[in-house]
Amino acid sequence: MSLPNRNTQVQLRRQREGFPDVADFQIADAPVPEPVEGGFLVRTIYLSLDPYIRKAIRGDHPGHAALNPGDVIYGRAVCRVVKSRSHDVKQGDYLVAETGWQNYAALVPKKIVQRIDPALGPLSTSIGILGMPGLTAWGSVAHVARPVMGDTYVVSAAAGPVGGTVGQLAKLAGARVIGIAGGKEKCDVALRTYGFEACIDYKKDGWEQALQAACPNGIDIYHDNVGAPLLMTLVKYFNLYAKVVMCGRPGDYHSGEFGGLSLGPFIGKRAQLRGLVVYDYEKDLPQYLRVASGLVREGKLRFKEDHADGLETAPAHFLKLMRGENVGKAIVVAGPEKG
Amino acid sequence: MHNIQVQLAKQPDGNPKTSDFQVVKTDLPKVADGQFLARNIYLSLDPYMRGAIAGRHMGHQRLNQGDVIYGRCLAEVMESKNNDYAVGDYVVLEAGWQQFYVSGGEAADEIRKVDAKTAPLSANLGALGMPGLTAWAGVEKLANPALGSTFVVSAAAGPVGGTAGQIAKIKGCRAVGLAGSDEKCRIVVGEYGFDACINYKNKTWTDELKAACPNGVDTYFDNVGGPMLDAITQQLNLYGKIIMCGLVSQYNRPTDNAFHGHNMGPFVGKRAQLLGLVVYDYYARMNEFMKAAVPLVNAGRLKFHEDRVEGIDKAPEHFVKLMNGQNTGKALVSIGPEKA
Repeated sequence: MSLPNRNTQVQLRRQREGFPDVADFQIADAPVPEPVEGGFLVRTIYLSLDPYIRKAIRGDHPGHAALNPGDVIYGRAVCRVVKSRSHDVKQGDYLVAETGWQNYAALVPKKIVQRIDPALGPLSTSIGILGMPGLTAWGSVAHVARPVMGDTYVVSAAAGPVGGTVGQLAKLAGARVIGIAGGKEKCDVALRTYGFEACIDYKKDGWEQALQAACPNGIDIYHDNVGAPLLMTLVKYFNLYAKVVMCGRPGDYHSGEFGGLSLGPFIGKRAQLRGLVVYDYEKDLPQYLRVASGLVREGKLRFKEDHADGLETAPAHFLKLMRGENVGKAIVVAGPEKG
Repeated sequence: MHNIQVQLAKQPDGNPKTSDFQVVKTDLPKVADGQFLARNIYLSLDPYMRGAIAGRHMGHQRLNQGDVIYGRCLAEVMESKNNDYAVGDYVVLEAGWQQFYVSGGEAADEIRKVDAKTAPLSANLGALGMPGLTAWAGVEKLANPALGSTFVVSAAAGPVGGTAGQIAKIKGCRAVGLAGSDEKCRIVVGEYGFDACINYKNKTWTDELKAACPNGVDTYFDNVGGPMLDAITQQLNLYGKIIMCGLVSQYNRPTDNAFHGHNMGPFVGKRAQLLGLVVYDYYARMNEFMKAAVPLVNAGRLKFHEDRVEGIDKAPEHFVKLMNGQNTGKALVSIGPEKA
């Protein structure tokens, strides 16, 4: 196969405080790079958009230096090896790797996040339910929260890949799952696709009363994807010794000045808050994939994706995610699966 | 016979002032059937009272002008028409800031009998009382720090912090205290035997803490909250534990909205565990605690330091001093002699 000689990239145009804007990004053409000895060249298929990227661009996320104008934006993608000078990968392999926002990336093996077995499920799920978001949910439910039957388990960002999987795993573990999401469309996904007991639209008046009504026995476990302002409201409905898994915090990513967590109510509830970082569970990925791929095939673990076509749509799709307007896992389709 | 009470004159605005209190002479109520008369000997002053007065502390209604201030006392039973309490018994109970209190023996008075022979009477309000139980619950039941790990505690000269650090030390931890003056730090190291104590009023206190904790912080027993917690979280090891016990730095805030907000990011990055502690949950285990603690006190392995004033009328200024962090050790008011 002959390779094209143009590589579309999405680069940082400017580093700026505050909420990101499409004008912070620029589309550029670069030559297709050559892999170094021991490296390989991949073609991007499904680019994963995630809230942490906002922090990574600013150098505010573990393992990511601040980007300069002209740098390719950080990102992981499902990709296919088109040329290999490495013994670790061969042409035609599917991987999840740190490609950045570009059509082609010359990588070295340590940029591999995950090797994909295409037999496990649809390729795109490797950046969703059968990838890091799913593993995050597994870490949260199976390792940190460990619900018991009958627990009332509340999940924010409930339509997203982490929240949606947390809720479904909690339900499989016998908990009563209540989602919180912004907008009717997302709540419909939580209810109909994921099968949650209830989903509260926090953008609707009276949502707090609706939550209270949905949790008549109080809240035992809360998986937090969004940060302090919502948590400060939810703590009022916690049972004593309620557990909180502190996970992603998109609310943090574009503002350093929001209210923050005030501890008094958490002491009163004897709450147990624990931070979760998915990297700690990477060694559990094979085990998780064995369990989860079976559940996905049986239709017991379901997922929802929000696709945009073409790399040049990535900035707008990313902003949609940051504004909370996406429904399901945000993915940019950068190229075809085959070829 | 008369009773002297300290009542609320007006709700404090921010830091309490002595003018927020009034000292009033009242008649002593008669003891009816089922009641007993307690003569208060020691009154315990504690930071939670600031929130209790304002109705911000669990189980305490906001006080109105003329209400007696909440407070736990060590008392002697002077007269009794209640079969559970005999004249001459020593008890700890919720008797308020006053010389005498008539109790019906209700659960709300949280009465606990005290054996005068086991330890100094006043210790029942400190190292062998609620503060000690709080420390024990936080260290033994919630944090359970490992041998050789580094245990940091704030308000380290006080009865909760001082006892927590000593228990951690007995468990084989490196105990490092934080306190608000060099004098307090001398007590923490010299009397309580901590490995180090940092005066957080020094500009370089975070560097000093880093030097005192070369292996990082594994457990932080937090009595103060606020920005200090954020600074210590930076030095927390992965999976470190934070016992959320008190928020002294926040109690004088005039409104709920003025509370310090913590960015959750660092807690997530450290995979921190924040565990809320309320001593009420451990009341039922008081005997278990005493079994462990009394021998330690008597053997001189669990020390306490008291900061006393004489006379119930001195309670307001002693409390103001406590809330300004100017006391050293357990704040007590001596109301009357141990033996009538």
